[in-house]
Amino acid sequence: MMTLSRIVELARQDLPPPAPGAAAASTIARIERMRVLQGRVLLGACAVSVGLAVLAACLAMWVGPATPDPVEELLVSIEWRLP
Amino acid sequence: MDDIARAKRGDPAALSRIISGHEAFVGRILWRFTRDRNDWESLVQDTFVEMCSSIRGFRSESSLERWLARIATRVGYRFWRQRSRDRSRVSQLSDDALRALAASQAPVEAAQLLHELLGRIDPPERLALVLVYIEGLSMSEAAARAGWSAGGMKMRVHRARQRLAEVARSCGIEPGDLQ
Repeated sequence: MMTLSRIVELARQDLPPPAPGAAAASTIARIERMRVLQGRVLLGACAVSVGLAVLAACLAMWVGPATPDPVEELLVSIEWRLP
Repeated sequence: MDDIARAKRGDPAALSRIISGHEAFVGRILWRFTRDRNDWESLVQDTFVEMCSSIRGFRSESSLERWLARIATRVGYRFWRQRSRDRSRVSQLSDDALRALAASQAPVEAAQLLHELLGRIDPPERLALVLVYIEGLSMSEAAARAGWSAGGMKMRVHRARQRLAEVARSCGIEPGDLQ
């Protein structure tokens, strides 16, 4: 039976099977897919931001500008005139 | 302009040439991390995907092979850590099967046996042993490859040798003098 040091010595000589040779093509294809996916995510994020901005603008137009309350204005002016 | 400069600008043909030229080199490193052909091919591809996504940060004055070896080691180590978390996927041979492998004198069986024994110790110690004893790197080279300090590597190697000897003894294999 081999000792551990002999096992290590022999294991150093073990070589991997021949490289599949398709790593380049499959890696480039995977990177391309990742880029397409990143592009779609970016596009989606842009669309959501534009949608939210349009929604906020519509809400602002629907609510209208803040107008001062005439009764409150009158009370304030009376308060100023009081001695 | 060389392939690295072209690859940095995103030229697929240049990337493809770099990958084809270094596939065997990366494959040799990752064969120490798994002996399953599917996992091995997947790790080789992961290494090149990481290379492609970080090649812009590669400084041409350092060696491309050294840089790739660091990426491959990181990918392999990450694979080990994932596997050690997922205990159900760790296949372990019986002690009898290990002793049968130890009776052989062939490199393939020895590598299979060592892989099984290493699978029984923690990934950091396993990495230290693979880099120093199987890859044959010096302590400082191994530390640089793993991204650890030289002191940390020395400590892990020391601990790993003791642990591997314990594991071997428990399977009925004589540790011998692992130098």
